[in-house]
Amino acid sequence: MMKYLRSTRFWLGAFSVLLLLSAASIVFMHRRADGGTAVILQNNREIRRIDLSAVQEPYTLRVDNPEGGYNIVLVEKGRISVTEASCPDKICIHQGRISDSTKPIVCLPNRLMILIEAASGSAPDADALTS
Amino acid sequence: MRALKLISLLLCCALLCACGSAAAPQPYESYVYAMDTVMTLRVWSADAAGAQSALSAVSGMLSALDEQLAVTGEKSEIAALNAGGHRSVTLSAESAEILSRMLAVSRDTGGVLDPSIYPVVRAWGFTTDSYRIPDEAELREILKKVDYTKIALEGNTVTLEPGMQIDLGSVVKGYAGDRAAALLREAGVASAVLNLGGNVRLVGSRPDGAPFRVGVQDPLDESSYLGIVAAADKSVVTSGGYNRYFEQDGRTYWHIIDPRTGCPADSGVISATVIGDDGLRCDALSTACFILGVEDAFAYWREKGGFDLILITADGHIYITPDLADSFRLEDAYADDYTVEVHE
Repeated sequence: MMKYLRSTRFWLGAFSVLLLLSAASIVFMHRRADGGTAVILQNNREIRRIDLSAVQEPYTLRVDNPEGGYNIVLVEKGRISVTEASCPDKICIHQGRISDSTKPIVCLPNRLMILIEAASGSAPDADALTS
Repeated sequence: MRALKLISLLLCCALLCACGSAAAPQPYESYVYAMDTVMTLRVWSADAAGAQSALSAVSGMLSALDEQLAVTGEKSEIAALNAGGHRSVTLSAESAEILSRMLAVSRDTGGVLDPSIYPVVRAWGFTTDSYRIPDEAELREILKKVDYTKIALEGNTVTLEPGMQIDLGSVVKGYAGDRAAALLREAGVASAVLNLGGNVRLVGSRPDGAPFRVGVQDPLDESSYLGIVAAADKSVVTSGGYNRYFEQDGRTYWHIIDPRTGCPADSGVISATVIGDDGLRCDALSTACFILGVEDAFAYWREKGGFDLILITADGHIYITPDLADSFRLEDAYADDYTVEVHE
């Protein structure tokens, strides 16, 4: 009887440890999703990757188009936007701040795209936007 | 003892669940500039290499289709046709089929969708972003060249009357979505969201089996959506005046032209969403329904069926087909501005 009990306790303990580990890994994975990672692409090529959850103070960065033209990008905690651009239509500025993967910011004249990666495990309100 | 056994069993179950979620399909994304817009391709797969190769196949197909069907460009069959140097141009079988299917919708809708509207769109400056308002005499003259019944398609050979030009732009993205979905399925992808510049093609449902949720853009505010429609394995295509427009003397002029007047469509509809299995048809009908207005669009739906509609009007109404009553939901923030009505 004692032996049996001991072995059950052993397995109980082993599974508890494993369960804790897996629970911890899930929490960790979800925490990474929080805030999101912004990716800046130029001409379909990734040029910069920013962890938006780690941004302390807002800052701007300038992205120059090799063929002329530029965009000024404002990076804030949890969100990102274009505040100034050389393009004629300024559509990238009017797209405002983005904070999730529903819709990227796009500047076609400067071949620039800013998007927030879809985090695995997170449940966005919308998977896509029809417009 | 019994309690201990039960707890062990529960823990085992919990552990299995945790392991199961770790092996779940992962999302892979790709972006393509094509057809004058940015396309976002997102697939879920448990096979990383397979997902990447499927995405690059789709990207290549989209770029090639763009070159083949754009109104400009050396490789474009449509540009060659519009150049007018030949009496007749033989298209590829694929281009001919797209034109033929677009013409079928033209006939079906009394010509509100017309591939030959292109010279009018150009006269308004929408193709070059140098906007202007053509005067009545000019419009009358150009409208003489707008008539889909004069596009002669025999086999794969097209003949246009002198001065006529066509554009397949209002169906190409819908068609491209269907082809992309087929390519992904062949590659074994069971779950994907393709956003071809606001033209959404869904493959299967979410990896967890729930339908995808597609936001319908607020026609008055580009940064938010006013409702969500739940759908799986469908095309969801919207035509909105907000996508390309200019303002002059306090009036808004958008790029969706009514071939009957040569002027921007003025039906009271400011956004038309069509949901269905056939992406090309959804794309074609979203433009047609925007021009037709609520009553004629719903009359068409009653007659032909096979798709669902969300029409948003300038006076704050959202008209939906009965099948969407459960799957379309207005965001709470819009409850004061819009009323949703099931229309039959």
